[in-house]
Amino acid sequence: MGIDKSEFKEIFDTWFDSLRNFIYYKTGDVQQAEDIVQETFLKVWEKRDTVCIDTVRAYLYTIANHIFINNYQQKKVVLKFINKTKDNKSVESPEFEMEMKEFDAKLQRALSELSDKNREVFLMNRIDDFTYNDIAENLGISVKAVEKRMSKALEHLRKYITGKF
Amino acid sequence: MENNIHNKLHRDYFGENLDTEIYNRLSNYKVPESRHKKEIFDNLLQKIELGQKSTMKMPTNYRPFIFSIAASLVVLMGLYFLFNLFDQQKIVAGVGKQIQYQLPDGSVVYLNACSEIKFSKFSFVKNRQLKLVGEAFFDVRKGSKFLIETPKAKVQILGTTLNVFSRDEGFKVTCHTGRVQVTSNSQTEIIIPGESVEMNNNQLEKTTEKNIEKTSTWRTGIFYFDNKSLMTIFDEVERQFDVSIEAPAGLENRFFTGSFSNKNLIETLDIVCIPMDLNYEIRPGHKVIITHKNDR
Repeated sequence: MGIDKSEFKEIFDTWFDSLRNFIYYKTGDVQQAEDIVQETFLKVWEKRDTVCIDTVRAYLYTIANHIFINNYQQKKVVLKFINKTKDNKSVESPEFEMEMKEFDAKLQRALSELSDKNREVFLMNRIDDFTYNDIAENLGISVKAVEKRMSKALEHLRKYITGKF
Repeated sequence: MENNIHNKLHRDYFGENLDTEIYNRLSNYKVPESRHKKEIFDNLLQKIELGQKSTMKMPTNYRPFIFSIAASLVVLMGLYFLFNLFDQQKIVAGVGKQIQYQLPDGSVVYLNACSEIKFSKFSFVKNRQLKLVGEAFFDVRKGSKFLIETPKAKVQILGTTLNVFSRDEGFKVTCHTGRVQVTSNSQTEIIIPGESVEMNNNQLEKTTEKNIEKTSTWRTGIFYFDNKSLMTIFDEVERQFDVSIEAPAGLENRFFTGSFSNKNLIETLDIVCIPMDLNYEIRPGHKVIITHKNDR
């Protein structure tokens, strides 16, 4: 029971990114996500005597989620991801570039239209590369529930994209 | 190769191709950041150093809270019902029975046949209050106010003995010792020993008893009547001997003065019927038929 300063830094380094992403999936607001995660770690520090390093992940997600729900107004989510690899313009044609952009826009709109529950699970798996087990543990839900939300999300995306194309 | 990719995008997006495309695009996505992670951690350390506390509201656990309210409501209601079930004490004297009962405060009640009292076991000592239907004699311990509620009137006593008669035929309270206050329809009468209050046409009327002891002789099995309608007397006979009496009309206008004992039905019927010039016949099934003598 209890964590010291170096362990606190370790927890921060391990979980900051995925926590920030997690809140971003809910809000579509980077600054808000960063604020919420900073507050989350402040809370963890306040409770450092009762925090256990083995169970801290579910605790982090719960606190972040609670801070979001209790302190921020839910707005319409508009996700805007950036591309990891800069598109190599010398290789791709301008038409292809255009099509890609269009597809991205469609996909991101489709993602924004998902319900929060389905979206966060889907993106945690596809972007943060969490396994279903990881997600279940993070959110304190069953693996079955994760599977359900994943398939619902994908189904919704398919419908949205094909419908608008 | 360029064309290949191009064609792929122009294809109708169905099934696995679409899924693969979605996954491919997603794997290239990154959440944007406004501040660097290092910056945020330093800011966090600064806050910690300054002893700043998080100002964020955390949830009260609504669900357990609501559940606990619901649970305690259920428990309270259960307790209330249980309490009422065990708390409400009912003492009943059936047909032909008389009961002597000591109340929790030490007062004694003598219940005549076909009478009952109801009171709260737990609060009676503090709040001496009971409901009476029928006739009862009370020997009330001195103390706080003692309230008898009857369907017709309220009787309030301060340590005394009294007889209360409250049946369909009438209402009468007789004070033996002490003082008794009777209230009905905002009319209030206070009586002292030897006085009675009777109800006639919904009005309380004070009368003086010639022979006070006789109003409560029923306790010893003697029933004394002073110029009472024969119907009233037969009603009492029915209650004391557990019989049903069939009597000809017009008896309510004939009056009887005298007494009978509840030990012997034939003796009682003789006492009433012979002087009133009536015949009686006892039939099986607890039935008594009264007829005028000249009818024969």
